[in-house]
Amino acid sequence: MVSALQGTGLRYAYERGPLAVDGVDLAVEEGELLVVLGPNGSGKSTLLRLLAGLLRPDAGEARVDGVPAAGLLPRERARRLAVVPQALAALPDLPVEAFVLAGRYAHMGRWRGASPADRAAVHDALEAAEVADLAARPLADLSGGQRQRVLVARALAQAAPRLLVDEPTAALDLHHQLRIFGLLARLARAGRAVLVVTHDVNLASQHASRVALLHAGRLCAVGSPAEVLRRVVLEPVYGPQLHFGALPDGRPFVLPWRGAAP
Amino acid sequence: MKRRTGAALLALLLHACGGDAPPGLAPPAAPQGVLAASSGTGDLVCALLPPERVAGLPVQMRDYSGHREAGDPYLARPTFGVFSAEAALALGPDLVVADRWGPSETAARLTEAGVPVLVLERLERLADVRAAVRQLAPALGAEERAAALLADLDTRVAALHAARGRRAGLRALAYTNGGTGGWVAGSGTSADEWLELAGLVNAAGREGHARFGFEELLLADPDVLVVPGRDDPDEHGGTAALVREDRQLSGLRARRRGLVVELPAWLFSTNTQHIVTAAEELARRLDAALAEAPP
Amino acid sequence: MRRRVPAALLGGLLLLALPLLLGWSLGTGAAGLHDARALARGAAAALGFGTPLDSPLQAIVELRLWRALTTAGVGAALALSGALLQGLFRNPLASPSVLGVTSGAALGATLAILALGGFGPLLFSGLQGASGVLVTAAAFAGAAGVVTLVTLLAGAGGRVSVPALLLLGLAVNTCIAGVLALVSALVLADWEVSRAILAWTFGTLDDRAPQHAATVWSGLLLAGLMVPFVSRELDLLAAGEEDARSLGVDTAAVRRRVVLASSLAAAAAVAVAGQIAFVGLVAPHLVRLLAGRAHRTLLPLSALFGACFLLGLDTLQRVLLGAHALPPGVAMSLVGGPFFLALLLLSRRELDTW
Repeated sequence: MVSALQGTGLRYAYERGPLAVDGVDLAVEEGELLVVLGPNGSGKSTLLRLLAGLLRPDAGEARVDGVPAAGLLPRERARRLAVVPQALAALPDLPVEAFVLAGRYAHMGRWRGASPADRAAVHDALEAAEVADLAARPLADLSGGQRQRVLVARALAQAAPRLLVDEPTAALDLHHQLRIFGLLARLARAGRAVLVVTHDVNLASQHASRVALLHAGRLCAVGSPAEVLRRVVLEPVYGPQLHFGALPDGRPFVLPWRGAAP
Repeated sequence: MKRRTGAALLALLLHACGGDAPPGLAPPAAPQGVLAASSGTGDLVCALLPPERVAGLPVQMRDYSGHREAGDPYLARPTFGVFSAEAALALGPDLVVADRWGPSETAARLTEAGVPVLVLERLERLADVRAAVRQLAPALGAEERAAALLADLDTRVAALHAARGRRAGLRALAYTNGGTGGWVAGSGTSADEWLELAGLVNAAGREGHARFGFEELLLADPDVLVVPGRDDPDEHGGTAALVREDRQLSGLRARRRGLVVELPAWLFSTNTQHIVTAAEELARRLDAALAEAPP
Repeated sequence: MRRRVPAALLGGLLLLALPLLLGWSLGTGAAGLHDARALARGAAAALGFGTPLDSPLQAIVELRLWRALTTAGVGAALALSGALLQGLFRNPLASPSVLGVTSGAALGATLAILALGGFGPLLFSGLQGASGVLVTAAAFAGAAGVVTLVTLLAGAGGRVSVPALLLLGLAVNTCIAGVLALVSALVLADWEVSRAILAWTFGTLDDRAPQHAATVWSGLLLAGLMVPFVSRELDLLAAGEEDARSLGVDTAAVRRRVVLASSLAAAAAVAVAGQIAFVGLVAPHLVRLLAGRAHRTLLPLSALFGACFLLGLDTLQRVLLGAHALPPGVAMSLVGGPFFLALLLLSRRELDTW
């Protein structure tokens, strides 16, 4: 069976730097929300970009639907997978709606403008990301959290069956954190393959179908939240000052606690 | 020798007193080694002195002076590239003749080093040339040759006047175009003088060197166009080719009648006694062209 | 967002202004020829319609016509080239002259002139028609070479920082100026070639022929063909190159097309008029301020604005200064230099390192 997203033996080092990703095998299937966890500098973002075909691995291969991602034409790749970046290199001087419309690039013909289907996709995306009321505002006027949701909206407008999301909740308040993750989980259940990179262990626990733990570029553990979020797995990565507990629905939670262990 | 040492000591003394550049040193009575700073002054110096009394000439004289033929004894004299005090001093002159266009610092350094510098203030018209010759004669100790030169010039000018013939009164322009737009020599320039000596009327209608576009050229529409040419008569200069071939200038009467005359570049741009030579050469070529021109 | 002029309105105004400026330019020259009807007749005859005027009037009108058309074409080409480069480098201070593109084209043209042992205007007349193509092709190679070099050196990822860009442009301009000076010194003996090479320094719009107008408009139109293929892509590049790629933009292809188009336009302009700075900087910037930065409208409007701007400025200074009119490169520097300075000061907030 061909996985929606698959990385085999991925290895990548930035120029004159240490290995950011060191021999990682990972697959994401349709219908699942895979969350990649790990401390800062563990290579999570790099792994995401490798899987998205935005970086060429030094060794190994990243495939989308069985086809090498880096080998696809950009337009074709954009129709298959969408990326929500952590931040933009530069902020375009556009209103939100125009910015989200840009997500339809891979679908728009060169000579026609936005079709009704494009506009509908944008509208739905804005609604889903709960930024419809900001449609006419310029990007520069938004708060960090609002911008993050707009980035999600743009990726949704792209209407690609595979979604790779890089730290979507870093600037969001509690309310929106839940809503966005809830949205991502719903999209996964509806049939997409969704990969999310985050350092928020607890959101992962509540929403992910599977969790992968990355440390110093290597995959330490992959499995259900219950399997991965245990002291024996997390302590080598995060250290001993952790407190483990369980939510009412049985899912684990982890808190940093200075009182834990010697 | 004593005079030079004395002059040098005086210069040092004045310099040590913190004064400005010392006043011009008195040139020696009959200098044995004269250095000419430019092609223009070179032409004059070589006309007044035998080769052995010429200490140095600029290398540009090979292309832009009256001493360009192979075998010319003056060409064997020592040369320098750029006129600088060091280059000049290396040739050991006892007098330097310069025009106004050289760097003033060079003249100052030479004077400080004890070599007198004689500056020719103006070299544009024949009157300036005559004045320069009269100024140089005593300084170079060449009174006889100076007188001969002046007499020769007078004779040739008179001959030109007498033989105007068909050229008299024709309107002419001295025109160059290096690809960036045209230039014309107006009144007061050397070119203006040789046009006049050849019996022609300068149609430029302005003073000095001026830009001259095609439109103005078409409006002026002179009878004769004089342009710089190459030495080899079979090779045509750029301006000549332009004037003869550019479609936009096809209305020029000088072109239609074949009266575009090429003058060797060194004559076209001379500002010395060769202004007369230029006029003579122009007269000769123009007469030939007029003989063949349709009425 | 600031209140903007609708692109259609600006475009309409410029389209109206252009023929007016062309007419004004036609009426300006050494001969006191102001009769509009005569000018119109002469112009029409030049293009093949109707009977020509008596010479030399016809020749004069033709001279003015080709001058006006060439000037408009050069202004448009340089402005388009600038707008394209600003989109590619995501920086409003990129322009063909700042980056050294125009001097690269001049170097190419100079080397071609050197090889041919010839002379500007000659190259377009009669027998040696092929040399005209050679000079333009050499100018294009020079321009493309410089853009490629700068693109490579400035780096592919992220936004190009202003200091890096300006330093690169300065370095490239200096190198090329040095080579040109060397070439000039070496050919000092050959007076003709020497003068021809000097011509490229300041640019010239005098005495242009139909071939000049044809060359620059061909280059402009060919470059213009590329515009629909890069407009939306340049808009998307504004957020960053990697981001654009994730949306499906083939950034490598876009870069190739923009380099091709901007070099072609700049080379055609330099090949017929020498180096004219600042048009590629001023025109797109003003259009961006007035009508926004969507490339679909920015690119064509920049070209239109550039044509009007150069034509207007050139005609104005010819009217004011008459016989002492300045070479176009000098005039543009006098106007564009202070403008560039003002630009730098006003965009302080947007610059990374101010």
